[in-house]
Amino acid sequence: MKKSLSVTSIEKALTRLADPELNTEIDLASSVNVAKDIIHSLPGVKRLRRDGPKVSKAVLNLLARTDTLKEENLTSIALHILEAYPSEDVKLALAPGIVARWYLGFNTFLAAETFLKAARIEAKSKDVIAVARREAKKIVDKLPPKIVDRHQTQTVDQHPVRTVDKHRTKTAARKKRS
Amino acid sequence: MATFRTSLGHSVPHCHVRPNPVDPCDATEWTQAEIQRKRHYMAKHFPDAEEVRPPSRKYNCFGYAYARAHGWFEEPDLFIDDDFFEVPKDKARRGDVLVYEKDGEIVHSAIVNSVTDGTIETVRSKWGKLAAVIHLPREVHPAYGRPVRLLRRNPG
Repeated sequence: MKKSLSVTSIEKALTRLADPELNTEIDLASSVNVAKDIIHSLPGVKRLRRDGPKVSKAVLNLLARTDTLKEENLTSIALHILEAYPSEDVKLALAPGIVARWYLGFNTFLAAETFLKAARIEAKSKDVIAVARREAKKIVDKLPPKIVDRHQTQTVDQHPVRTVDKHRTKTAARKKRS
Repeated sequence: MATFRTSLGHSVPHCHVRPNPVDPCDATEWTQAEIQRKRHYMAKHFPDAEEVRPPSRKYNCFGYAYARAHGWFEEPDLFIDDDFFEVPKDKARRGDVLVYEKDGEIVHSAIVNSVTDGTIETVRSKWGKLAAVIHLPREVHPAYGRPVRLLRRNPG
């Protein structure tokens, strides 16, 4: 049996996956299924998906960093790895971003799919995004202001955790409707 | 979701790059700097692929092959059912569409670019969010599977 990866090895693997020279391969995909196929074939991804909860924690930290979302391919990889670690932490970490629509392109689907798995909610493939938005909103709406405030200042391994700006989301939704 | 119809009038779901895009489209097109980086990636990893249109997030292989690069499409079956008929692969003509499958799923499509005695020499296809390129039919990323069917647009 293989020894599980150390925190350093996990970070090293994630740093390697963050390299555009490597993750641009995902841009070859014309559909989310092909994107997942490519992500799965990237070096280290299979191992990271089965290594254990230390990986989940490291990837959540990575996703929480403000610069990660700008790197769409890295975000895709992070979401695909987290899909293998359904948990309450993953559910809570993804819900605000799904509601606020931080995830774009293939990441809309990947985030929704990973969130629903973490929330143990099943949905047909064509409904995944809509169901995830509805269920994520329920979670975000339940977060009392205190908890939202705490999340705004809380850090996990020194990285700030993202939170949704409810007011801005509602305003954006109103603008979109009109 | 915008409307694009097949020759039989069926609506085909697709999307466009724009602020607040419909899934799975992106909000912005690549910047010039990003286009250069994507070109560099292609040149390094697929040196024999000849670019015919620059890297773009506006359309994918299905949009390019079935809808004249109109947008990003993910349901090629709708076009195939209404607008095309299948022909033997050794009776290819320029402009036919080559369908690639992996595990029984359509994962890529390419337009026949050059033919010798009915045999496909080269095709041109859009590689995801990267460039549209001319390439040999089998010189593609493994995620594109293999060419399995040749289609020709219905007459008229």
